[in-house]
Amino acid sequence: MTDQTHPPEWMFHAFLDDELAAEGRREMEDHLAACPECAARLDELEALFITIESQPQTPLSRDLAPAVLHEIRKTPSVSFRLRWIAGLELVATALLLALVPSLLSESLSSLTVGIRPPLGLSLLALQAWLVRAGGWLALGRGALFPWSSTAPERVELWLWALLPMAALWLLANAVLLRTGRRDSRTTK
Amino acid sequence: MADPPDNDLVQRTRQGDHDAYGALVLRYQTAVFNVCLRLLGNPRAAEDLAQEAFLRGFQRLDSFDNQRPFGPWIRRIATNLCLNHLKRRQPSTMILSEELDRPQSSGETDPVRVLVRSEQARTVREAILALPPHYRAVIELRHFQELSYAEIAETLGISLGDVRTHLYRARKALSRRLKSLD
Repeated sequence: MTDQTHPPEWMFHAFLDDELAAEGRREMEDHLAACPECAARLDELEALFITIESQPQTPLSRDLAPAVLHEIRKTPSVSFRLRWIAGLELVATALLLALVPSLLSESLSSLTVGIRPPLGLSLLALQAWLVRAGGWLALGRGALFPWSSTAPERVELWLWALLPMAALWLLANAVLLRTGRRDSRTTK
Repeated sequence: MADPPDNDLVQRTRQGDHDAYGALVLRYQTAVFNVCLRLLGNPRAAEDLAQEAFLRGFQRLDSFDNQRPFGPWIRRIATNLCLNHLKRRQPSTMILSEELDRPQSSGETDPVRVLVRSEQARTVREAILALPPHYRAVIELRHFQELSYAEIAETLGISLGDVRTHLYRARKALSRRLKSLD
């Protein structure tokens, strides 16, 4: 920049906002020292900033704290521990939803043996739907579980896997209910 | 006994002491209310949103970095609430009652000076409220909350270039309006 070439308008703003890089700031300072016209423009802009910022605070007509605290105390807060338990429960529920339909389908397949249509056909259709639903929930569309066409001992194995998950789910519910009742008592 | 620092009150709130949060509300309610008032122009709406800002702040207290100052954080929540409010509806009619023009005591005793100051304040407030919401927002964040260009860009979800442009145009509009009212 020289005396003859003035900085662009945005540089005056950035200079006052302290947003110019060191080199730009130095150039600006050198130019302002040598250019009274730009120095006057900067003073005018600075006066505008002072006018804007000299707005006095308007007082509140009421204290907000009582209303805020009343709302906070109405809603019991959920502790970190509870959020973890709720998260684990969600996972257990999702796994149960994915596995149970497929296992039910195994039970149904034994029921359909010897049963004539239309009931047999309906049960087979339900079985197929359950397998697909279970696979879709867990693995995506079209997936099938490995036990879909396996021996009963594999089914028994998966039942043993289900039992702890169901127990975890029930335990998590009990803890949540108990803690929820305790929290709502303490916030009253 | 000195007032406890903000991070102390935040920590106590996290441990279940709701009265500690009440102390934070008392400390910052005027500043937060004024953020909302400058953006909305309506004192009743500003009080409601200021209250809502503190409720949101309480809900998000777990994610607040207690090494940083509480004031700028709660003011930013208030700013975003007000901007969302302005996006959802037409700005409500400005109510510039005499009540609003009464500033907090500045120590000024000369009644003529008090009146002049009050008129100037009203003029500037009207000029800011006459700006479109996105210009009002950058003026609020830069001049009253002292955020950097990068912080303004992050708060509003716009580019740095847009921040510079908005500020430049907002200030130009304010300058023109204030000169025309002189």
